[in-house]
Amino acid sequence: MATGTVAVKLAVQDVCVRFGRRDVFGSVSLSVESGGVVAVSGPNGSGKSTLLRAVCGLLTPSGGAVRLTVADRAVPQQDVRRHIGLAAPDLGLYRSLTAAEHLQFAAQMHGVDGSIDRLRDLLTLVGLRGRGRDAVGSYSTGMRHRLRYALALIHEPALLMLDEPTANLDAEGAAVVKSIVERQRSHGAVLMATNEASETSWADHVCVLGAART
Amino acid sequence: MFATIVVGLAVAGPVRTPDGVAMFTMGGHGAKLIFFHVPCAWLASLAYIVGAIYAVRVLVSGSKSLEVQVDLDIKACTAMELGLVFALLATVTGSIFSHNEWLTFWNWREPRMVSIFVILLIFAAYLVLRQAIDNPNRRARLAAAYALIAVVPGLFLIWVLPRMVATLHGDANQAVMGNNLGGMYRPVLRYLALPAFLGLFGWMFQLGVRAKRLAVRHAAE
Amino acid sequence: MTQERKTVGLLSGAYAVLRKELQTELRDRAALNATLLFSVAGLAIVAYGVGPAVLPAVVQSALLWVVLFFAAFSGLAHVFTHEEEAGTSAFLRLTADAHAVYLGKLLFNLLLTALIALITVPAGLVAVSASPDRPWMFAAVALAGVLALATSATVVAAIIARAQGRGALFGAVGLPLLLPVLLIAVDATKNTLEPEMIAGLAGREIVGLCAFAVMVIAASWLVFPAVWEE
Repeated sequence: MATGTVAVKLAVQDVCVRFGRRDVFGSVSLSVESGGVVAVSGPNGSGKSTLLRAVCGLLTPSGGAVRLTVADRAVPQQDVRRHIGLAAPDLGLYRSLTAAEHLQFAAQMHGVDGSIDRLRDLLTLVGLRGRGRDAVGSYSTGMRHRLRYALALIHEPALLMLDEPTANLDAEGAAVVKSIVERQRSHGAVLMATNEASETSWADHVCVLGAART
Repeated sequence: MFATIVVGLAVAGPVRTPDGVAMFTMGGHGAKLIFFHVPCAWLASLAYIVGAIYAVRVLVSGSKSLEVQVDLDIKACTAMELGLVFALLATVTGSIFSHNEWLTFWNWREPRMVSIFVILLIFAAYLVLRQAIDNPNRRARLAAAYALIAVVPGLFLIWVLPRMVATLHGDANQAVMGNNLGGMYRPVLRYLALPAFLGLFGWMFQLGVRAKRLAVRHAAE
Repeated sequence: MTQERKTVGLLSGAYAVLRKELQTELRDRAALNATLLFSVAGLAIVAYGVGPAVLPAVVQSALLWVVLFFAAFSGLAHVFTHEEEAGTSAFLRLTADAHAVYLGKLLFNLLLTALIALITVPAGLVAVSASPDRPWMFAAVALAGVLALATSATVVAAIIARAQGRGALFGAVGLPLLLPVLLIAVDATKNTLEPEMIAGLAGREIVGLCAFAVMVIAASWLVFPAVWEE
């Protein structure tokens, strides 16, 4: 589906996140550019997912700056969501809506093609073909995670962010994720949070976060 | 020291003013209650204005720094707490005054009484809302948003409601500045009681802000 | 082929959010049914309490509005709290523009409040045995009250959805904002129930209620991004 490359650059500079008294992590810097795959790893509680959320704008860092540049233009904070796709296991879905309705909603909100053919292509890509009309409440954990991939890809974001990319996925699902990552390499960039050696091997660069400090 | 002078002025002025005033039927010291009632009501409104200005700054500061936002929130919150205290005092003094003058403590048909009651509830609701939010920055933003939304009913109570129903305060917006008072009452109220209470407000405000800043610093250590 | 991107208009975004709300609420009807049941139960209490008594117009109108307010308040927070409870708010934040979310949810709450009013107001009139002297004026007052009620409740719901103890907080924080609405609405309704009241008085109050709703929408519009986004 996606062949055109978008020049994208994400620069995370000295970002730190604090919850109350506790530093989740202090001063993290990393950068991802078009064609690049960067993995963030670290022990549980080191703030991998939190870092991804800070990049998406789902939480404001206590210090430092996150800068996203797409096609050589700095993206203002309120437009960041248009250029990123996030697939994270804690991203809740609507139990009573079907997969197709989720995708249609996302397509409409992003202003991209939400035709039946396109939705079918996306569902086929993530291995949910034929299940598009079932309510998400009837899905297994792995199937929900596959749907999150379809949702993250629907607007063909310049930056794809994956939190625990293959958590709860079977071998076939993990292969799908690998192909999605490789394909995204030719379209934009990937930032993922993982501790799996098999997944960090996809990355050109691994950024290790320290253990949580109290 | 400053506080002593201010409180002294606020108390001494009214006590030295001659008794009674033509427009009220009651005699003796009863009417002097307005030297407390009017400034309290005035400070409650001032507290809301100060709180709302800091609330706007909290929302605008979002992109700068989280610490700045929390500090602005401390100021907004202090203003709102003082607002609650003075609104409560204005309600109590107003109610006693009403009993002396019109033989009733409370009248729901009187828009000023309804207004002060609703404003009391809004101050209280603002403070209750804050207690229910843990994250200091989220607390700052949500409380500021609520304070600004509450400006709408506030404006309604001050300008719209008194014009829809008759009021005991005479021309509602005249009474606020004491324009309908006679004798020595007007100058004492305007040039002694109001400035003295303003000073009191300023003193309490900076005290509250300092105490909260210390609490934040203590929690961070 | 790279997907072509259109700029999403505010209204089409709001419509998509509204459609999503309708789909989820109509399929998972528990919240909707609970709200409607609450209004019916409230009406039953009023009808039982009033009995055959003939009430003055001011009491009739106060009872009508109390039932409508509490019924609406039992249901209007759900539009935001269900996102936080089901953990879907992050998805919505990443997918939709904040103002589209606000507008879509406001529209949903307007429809829900209108539905509640459609049930409680006619049945409430029977319960307190009142018949409006000027039915059209009465309907206009009810509509303006619904508008002011739904707009204020929606923004308060957005705020309390992100705090703890949402249920109790919604009433405690929302009702002070709505007291002026309640006062004006009760007075206006009384004026349409009594034949001897001066015409035009209720009209001015309808304008007051609509102005209140417009001002609340304007204020909500300004603060909503700060409430919704992190």
